[in-house]
Amino acid sequence: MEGNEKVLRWNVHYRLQHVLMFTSFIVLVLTGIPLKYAGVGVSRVFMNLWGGPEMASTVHRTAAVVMIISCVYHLAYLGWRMWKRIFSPDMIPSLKDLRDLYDNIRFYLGLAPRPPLFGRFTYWEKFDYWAVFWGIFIMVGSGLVLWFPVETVRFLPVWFLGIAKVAHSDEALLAGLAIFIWHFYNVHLRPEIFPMNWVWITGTITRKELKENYPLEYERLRLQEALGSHRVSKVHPPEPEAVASAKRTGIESDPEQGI
Amino acid sequence: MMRLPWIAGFVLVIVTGTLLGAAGAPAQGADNETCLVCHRSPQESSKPGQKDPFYIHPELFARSVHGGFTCDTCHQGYSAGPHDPAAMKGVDESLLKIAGELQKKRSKGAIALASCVTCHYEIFQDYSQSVHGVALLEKGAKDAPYCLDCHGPPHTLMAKESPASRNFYTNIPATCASCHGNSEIILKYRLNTNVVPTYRDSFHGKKLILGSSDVAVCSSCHGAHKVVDPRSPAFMEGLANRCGQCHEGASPKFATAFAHIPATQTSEKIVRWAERFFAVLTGGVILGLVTHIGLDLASQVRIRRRRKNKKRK
Repeated sequence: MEGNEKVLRWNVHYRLQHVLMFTSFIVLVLTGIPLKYAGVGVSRVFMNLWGGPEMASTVHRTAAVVMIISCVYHLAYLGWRMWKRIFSPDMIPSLKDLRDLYDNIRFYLGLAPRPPLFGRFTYWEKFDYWAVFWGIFIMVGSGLVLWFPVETVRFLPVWFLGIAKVAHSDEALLAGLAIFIWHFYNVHLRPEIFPMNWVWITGTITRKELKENYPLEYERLRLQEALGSHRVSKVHPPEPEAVASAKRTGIESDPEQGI
Repeated sequence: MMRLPWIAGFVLVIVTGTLLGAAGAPAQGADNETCLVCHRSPQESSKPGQKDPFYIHPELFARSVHGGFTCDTCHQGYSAGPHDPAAMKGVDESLLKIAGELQKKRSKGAIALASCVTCHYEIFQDYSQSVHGVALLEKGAKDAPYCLDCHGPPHTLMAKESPASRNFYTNIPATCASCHGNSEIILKYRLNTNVVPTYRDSFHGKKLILGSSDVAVCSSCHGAHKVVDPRSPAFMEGLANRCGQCHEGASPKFATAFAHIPATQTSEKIVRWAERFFAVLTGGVILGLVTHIGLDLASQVRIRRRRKNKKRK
């Protein structure tokens, strides 16, 4: 049936990076949060599940190493793609994202008949990506300071330890809330998606889904197929013709989709 | 063949030492049973439930670290019958002097209170130079601790290896907090108010609460009997070495990191600002995200309802 062919969205490298990232993240949260809230009774129960705070500390640092590996893997992979000239900067935020946010909220409030036309990534997906970037920077930085306090004060002021502790503890809470409320809503709980968006395992979405959710990317893909060259695909933002085409084909022709 | 005589000599020394040690134990003055005629625990007396220091539970006492002692090892100078403080005899002068100071703590039984000195004299010497010893013996601060304030009730006193002891490693913070976390005493003697909260919020304190016995407690940094003023150079001198017991290579600069600092100092202010920054960031971001979720949910519900209505038509 037309529209059910798969389109690759995340290749095996990205999927592996995501799995490494979220498994280590969950372990880090489960070993770290009981320490943050040590005064709460259940924290001790949690710690005992790990075999006590010493063991939890070892597990926490092991998971941290896994998370760092996933980041290095990701950056190295992006570097490799750049070197091979197949990197496309679709994740870079642009003015269009701000406009999309504005338009989408207008749509949410009933002030616009349809949501904006998204490209390969929506603004909230970009937000997730860069939030992780910021989070990793803070968490790995402060985590290493706390892991090696003696070495840190050899060349930094002592209050760095205090800041690192606050940053590690508070950013952990922010990251945890962002993942378990925001990310879980977007990829699990959203009525359209429940129980989950399977793309993290399969790596693919259907052409129909692409057309519905990322119309500009869908048009770019069609243009690329028509021209038979992958070079076209690297233009960002998309060609004006693609936008016009998406407006014709994507939304107006299909009001039942409800987007 | 030099080896055998050497070992024999060693054994001889040990045996002689043990015998001499036993002989040197407190003199067997009065039989404990004599005292227990009046001082037996209320469980066996006619007044059950009564908890009075004048009553001793012989079995609990026997299990305590000093359980083999006779009563007058500590309660020196007593004779049988109703005790008359004026009639005390045979008490060492220096012990009487300390007991005189301890009268501020407790008018009765000050000699027994002071009597730890008789055996633990070297510890007393350390103690008398400590911030606690000076406060009690020289400045007359009656709340400053003497032996039993930290080591617990005398007749059930346990060795610090026993988890029941107030001096068991992981019980030490609670023992110190009985004064350093007591607002009355903190105000009265102008002690640092941050001692307990900063420890409790530190990685040391948190891991201790979570069941670790592998973290620094009060005495790890401050020592036990020779606690000196932490603002003095004498304290800072050896501190890096103490940190170094766990944190290999710790420098004197590193040692200042854990300082129970009051929140007014600059470095602590920087940390407070970091806390505020993250509070605002977290609050703002989560509020924004939850709003977005709410809007998205509402619009999805609206769209579904519209679709249903269309189908009905």
